[in-house]
Amino acid sequence: MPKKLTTSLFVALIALAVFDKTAGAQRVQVAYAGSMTAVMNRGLGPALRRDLRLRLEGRAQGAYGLAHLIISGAIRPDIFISITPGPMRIVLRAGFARRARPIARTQLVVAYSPHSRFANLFRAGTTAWWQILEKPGLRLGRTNPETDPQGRNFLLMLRAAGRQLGQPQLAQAIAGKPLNRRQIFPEAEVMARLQAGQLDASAAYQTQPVALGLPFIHLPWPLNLGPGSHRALAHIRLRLNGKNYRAGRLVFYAAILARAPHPRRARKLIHWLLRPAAQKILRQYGYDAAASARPLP
Amino acid sequence: MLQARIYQPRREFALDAALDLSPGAPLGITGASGAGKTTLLDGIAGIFASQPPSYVRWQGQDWRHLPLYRRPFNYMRQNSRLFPHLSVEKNAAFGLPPARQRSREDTEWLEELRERLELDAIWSAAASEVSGGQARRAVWARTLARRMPLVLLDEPFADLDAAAGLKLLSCLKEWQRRWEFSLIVVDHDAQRLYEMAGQPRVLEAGRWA
Amino acid sequence: MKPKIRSGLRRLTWGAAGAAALAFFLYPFLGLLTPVGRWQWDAGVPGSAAAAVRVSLELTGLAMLFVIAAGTPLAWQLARERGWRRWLWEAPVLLSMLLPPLALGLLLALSLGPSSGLGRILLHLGLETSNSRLAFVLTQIYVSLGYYVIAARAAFAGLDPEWETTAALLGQNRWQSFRRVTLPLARLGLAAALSLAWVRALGEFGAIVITAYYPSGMPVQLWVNLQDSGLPGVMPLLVLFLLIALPLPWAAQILAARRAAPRS
Repeated sequence: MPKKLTTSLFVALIALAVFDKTAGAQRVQVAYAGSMTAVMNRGLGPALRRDLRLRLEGRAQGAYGLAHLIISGAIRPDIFISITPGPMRIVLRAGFARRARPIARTQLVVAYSPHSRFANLFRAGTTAWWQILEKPGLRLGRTNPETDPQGRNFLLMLRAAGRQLGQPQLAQAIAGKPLNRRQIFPEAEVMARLQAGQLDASAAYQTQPVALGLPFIHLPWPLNLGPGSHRALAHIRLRLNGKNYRAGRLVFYAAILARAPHPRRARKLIHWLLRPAAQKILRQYGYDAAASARPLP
Repeated sequence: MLQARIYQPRREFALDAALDLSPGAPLGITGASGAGKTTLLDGIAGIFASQPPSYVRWQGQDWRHLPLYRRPFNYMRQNSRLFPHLSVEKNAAFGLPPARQRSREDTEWLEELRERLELDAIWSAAASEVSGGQARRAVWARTLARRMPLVLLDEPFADLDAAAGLKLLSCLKEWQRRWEFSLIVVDHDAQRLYEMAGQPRVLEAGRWA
Repeated sequence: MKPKIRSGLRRLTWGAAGAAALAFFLYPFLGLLTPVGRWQWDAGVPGSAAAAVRVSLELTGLAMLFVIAAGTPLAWQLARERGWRRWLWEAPVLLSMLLPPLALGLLLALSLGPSSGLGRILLHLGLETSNSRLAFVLTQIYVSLGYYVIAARAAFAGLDPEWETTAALLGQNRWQSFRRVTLPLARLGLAAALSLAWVRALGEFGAIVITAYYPSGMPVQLWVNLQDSGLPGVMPLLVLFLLIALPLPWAAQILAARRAAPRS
């Protein structure tokens, strides 16, 4: 009886491995910034399957977390896609990739909840965005500036806006302290709370509300961190925990990793991403063209 | 042939009793409660590891190095209970091979036990549903179903009324003669033992009186 | 008269306390009523919800087989050890339950992943140890085995050792008496232990999101859907999760209770 049990378990284990192998044919593993989940799952994934017969296995997490998982060897995907150069530089510096190419970019927007009592104000477009955000009782959401570039970029944007408008108190009035606990939520949760009407508005990359069908308002250049804005905002600094931060480029960089299990497929995928078919899908999901952005390093 | 000596220190006294038992012979042991009767049986069975100079020899060989389940005896302990998750039938046949592989002799013997121990009515009942006296009789069946050359019975008539006790006594006498097993019965009732096995031996504070 | 009133009052107080605790358990489910827009039964990903359910059920089921096979003898052994030896045996089991799942996931990924020695050897044999079914099952076994062992140990320890002696005296060797007596007598407790392990493995997220993002089971799919389409994509999966996770432990309990009851 125990022998029979052991044998059947062993057979199950082998079957598991074999079955896995057949299922794993032509897969390509991509670790990407969490905000790209929608376009990967619904847009690029199916198209990739159709065009290249590759099965996209994504891993969507915070880009910095992914960068550290990669250089520690805990995960070994074929491709890493980061937003902003920061996480990608970690991977490049550790020698886990040689070159990262820009594939798209996005811009900073203010998303709002359709259930919010301020929704009409946003929709009307007659009140300046910062005046709405300053309204008493407006529940604003953003991500943690200590760990998430988006959270930092939003604070930097508010400082730049304050400078531009001659209102040095603007950032304080809208966001409070940098680590204002009442506003800070994990990235995925910010959007969920907007949907549920628990927040009125939030900082967001344009791609996020587009994917979820949430309304949003644009910010003027260079506050939207659009192309070239990092130079225009070079003088704006944010000091957090002894580190100085500047506005990042909202560019998505893709790199083939040095230890990719499927380097050929990875190369094919990157080429494909830059072609018009894939770029058109990216546009549909609110991504802008990478335009003048240059490869790293 | 069983030759045994059990030495085991206890709180008030040390048990130290030796006995010889010829094949097919019955032996009754009696004594006041707490005299060490159960300890003596447990020691012979090897439920605990008895202290030197104890020995237990069966056909000239010490069986204490054998695992409990390989020793050639049936032992009905005072606190033997039916397995609560099995029926009376499954309990009675517990020590026998599964029904399909059972020899005809085993099957017939089990039938006889069922009839003589009056277990028909409760044969397929769950062990947890039967009364104390019925359970005791079922334990008898479970103990005797395996035919072994040595049978140890500790207070086998407990939980039984007088009439049932008498009946079982005559059954036991008959079976013992038929199967010719060596038998040790512990009972507080010296009269019953006398009928079963002649003059019983009396244990007093761990030693033969 | 007076003591009667007092006992009535006491019963009322206990009843109210119990009801309050139950209400506390059920309260979060009001969140399902939040208006989040139309629930998306399938977040547009081909077969995502159905695939996640299948992955979870199949692989968790398989993991449970291993948990039973590996955990039952260990639990039985633990129930028999005493004193410092017991602590020695129990320490590794507790260790596996001590770490936050995320930390555990990292350790598993580092020690079993493709950059580890063992991972490399297994990869040579065609067994992928990250983002694979194997990684999924291994992680589930690791996170749930401890819960099973501890609960099963209690079930075995609650049994009178006399039963095994009785079986031995009836000619049953250790394995036979374990199978014919110990196991059936402990089955209620074992079923409870198994349902605990089942729920733990099925709901595992923190470790699995590192070791086996693929194949996505239900918890990872929840996370993917949250990032993909937000709450409208999460809610249906949440309901599915409840429907699927709950009946098995329930069934196990009921079955065990019925089996434990008298039978002919």
